[in-house]
Amino acid sequence: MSDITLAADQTAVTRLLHDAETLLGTLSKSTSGSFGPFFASAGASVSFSGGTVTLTPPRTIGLANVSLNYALDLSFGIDLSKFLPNFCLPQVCVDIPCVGKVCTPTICVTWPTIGFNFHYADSLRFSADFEVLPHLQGGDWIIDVRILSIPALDLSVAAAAILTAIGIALGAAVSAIPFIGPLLGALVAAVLAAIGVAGITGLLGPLLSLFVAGLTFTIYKEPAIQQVLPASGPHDPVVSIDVTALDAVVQQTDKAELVITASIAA
Amino acid sequence: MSLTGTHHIFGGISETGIDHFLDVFFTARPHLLAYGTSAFATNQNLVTLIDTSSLPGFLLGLGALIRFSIPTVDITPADAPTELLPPGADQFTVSTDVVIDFLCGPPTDKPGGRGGHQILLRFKLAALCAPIVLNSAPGIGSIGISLVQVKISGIQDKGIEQVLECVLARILQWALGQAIIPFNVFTLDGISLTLEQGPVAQDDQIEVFGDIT
Amino acid sequence: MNSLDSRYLRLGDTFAHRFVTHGTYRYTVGIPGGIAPPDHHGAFEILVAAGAGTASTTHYATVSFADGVFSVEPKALHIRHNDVVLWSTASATTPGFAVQCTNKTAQFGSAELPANSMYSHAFGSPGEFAWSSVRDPRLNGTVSVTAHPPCLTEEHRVAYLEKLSKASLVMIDGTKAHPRKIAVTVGQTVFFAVRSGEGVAIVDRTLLAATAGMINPQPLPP
Repeated sequence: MSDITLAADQTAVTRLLHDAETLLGTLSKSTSGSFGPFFASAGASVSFSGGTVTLTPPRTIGLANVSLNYALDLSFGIDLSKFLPNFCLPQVCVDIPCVGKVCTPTICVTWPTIGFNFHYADSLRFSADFEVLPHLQGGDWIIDVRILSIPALDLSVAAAAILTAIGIALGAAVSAIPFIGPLLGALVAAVLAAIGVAGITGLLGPLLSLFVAGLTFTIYKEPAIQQVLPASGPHDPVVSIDVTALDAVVQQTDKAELVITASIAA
Repeated sequence: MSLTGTHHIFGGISETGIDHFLDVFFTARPHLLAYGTSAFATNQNLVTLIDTSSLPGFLLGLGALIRFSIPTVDITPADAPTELLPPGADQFTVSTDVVIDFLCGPPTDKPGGRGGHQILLRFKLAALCAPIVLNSAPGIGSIGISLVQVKISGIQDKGIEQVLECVLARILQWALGQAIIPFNVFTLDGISLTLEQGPVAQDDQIEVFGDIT
Repeated sequence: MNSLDSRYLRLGDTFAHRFVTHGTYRYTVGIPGGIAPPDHHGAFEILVAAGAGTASTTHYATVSFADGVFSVEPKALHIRHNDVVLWSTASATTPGFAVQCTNKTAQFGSAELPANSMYSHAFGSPGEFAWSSVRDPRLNGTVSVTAHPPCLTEEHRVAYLEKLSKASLVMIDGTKAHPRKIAVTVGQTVFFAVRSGEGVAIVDRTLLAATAGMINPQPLPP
């Protein structure tokens, strides 16, 4: 029998995992690459929350419907002349009394290249199996719960929403360009068609997968040498225990439980 | 049967776990296992002083040193039915060896010796105990030891045996009362425990049940 | 910026002047209130021959800007009496400029429109544009510019361009503008012709409010 045995059922482990998600905080990564015909730089911030736990012997914790909460910041440039047809104000003539007919020349508009920043926040759900990994590191006993394989992230709904949001943001970004008004709808449609849902998933998928690959939550981290009683008086110093071994497994009886066993030094 | 039962968290310390804890505890605070008069309590980190200064003068010069070995525990069910005080339901037995040095007379100037007439007693002691909640505050509570009965063996005279049991019970009541086991020992400091049931002495363990605070 | 401001001509604007007196007119092109280069005085010229032609002809001068210097093509124009010269730029990067005659008599200039001159502006954004003359606010009016439905097909585009080829004219006589209120669609051009009056500057009132109190206010960047 171990010196110390600690058991947590699925309800308690769910709570521990949710606390671990909060403790993990917000992670950030960035990338750059093709985004349809544009070059884009993309930054993403991700946090995790929620999910339901299933414990499976000997060391598997299944997490279902975990929320991956992400915020995207994209920066890219668009050469509008590649998407808008040549546009020239036609010659306009007017009969001015006592002057005669005066005509303006044809005036052609050169569409500029615009820089475009886009921010979008949303969340998606995924499910995956994690393995329980107790280990000693740097004087601390740690129990990590690490993802076993990268789950497929369903981005189709998000990609469509992002594409729509890009269209709205693009419209706002170019709306002040003179003479673009009647051509704005065609511009947005052309740009979105060029990016496409595939472009979104092609950029977003690998970026978000970076956060999920190797995803690890720490549900336990404490020093191997733990103070259990503070000093009390000049002849009663601190009392500490030395945890010399620690293991964590999933056991199934009438309930599935995560069972942590430890040995303390005499 | 699951460990947590109808609760969400289970914490248990086995007999060897308690033994290791008591070893660590009394090694850090050795004076709790030794009680002596001024002749013996020269270092109060090692020996708790028994103050005899208020005794009448004719009793001055008498000295005593009571020492206990680091105790070990047997949590119910009893390891052996022939134990001095086998533990019953929800009980555990603390066993220790007792050595009493009794000094009859004042010390002399003899180099290397205390002088006087020294009497040495050695015997075994068993203390029947029960775990109790000292502090149930979620996360920071603690479990303590309540002394039920003391029994010694090796003293032939029944009357002296009872006197010694009475005195030693007083000392052990105080010493074991200092051996506090916080909740975070049961949870390895990793979970804040709200106690819902226990502590219970059973299955060779002290067990607590509850939920995460 | 596609500002309604005759003092600063940009892509989409024109300035025209009818020359009713023969002679040689030298002029400069520069940023109003800016310092012209030393050798820039009277760099361009218009030679007006005596005797009118059979009909008034419009001659075109294109202004460009490179290496900090404005230039005009052609540098010299030979025209007949009553002909019109029209200045414009073909580039969105040309800063707001003014044409200014440097003759001692018979002046003309785009920053302060004299009689026989005209300013046109193509409106690039929808909105309600209340304008007035800088020198005399009694001369004022409103141009309502409506958005145009999206051009999603070639047919839409052709129809839109057809619409843009139709002009609107505001005649200015002294402090009177006729019509005072005019409605156009985005992309259409409004002509402001000064029949009588001096020193007319057609400026969006919001610009006047933004630069009120400034000494030598500069135009907003293009």
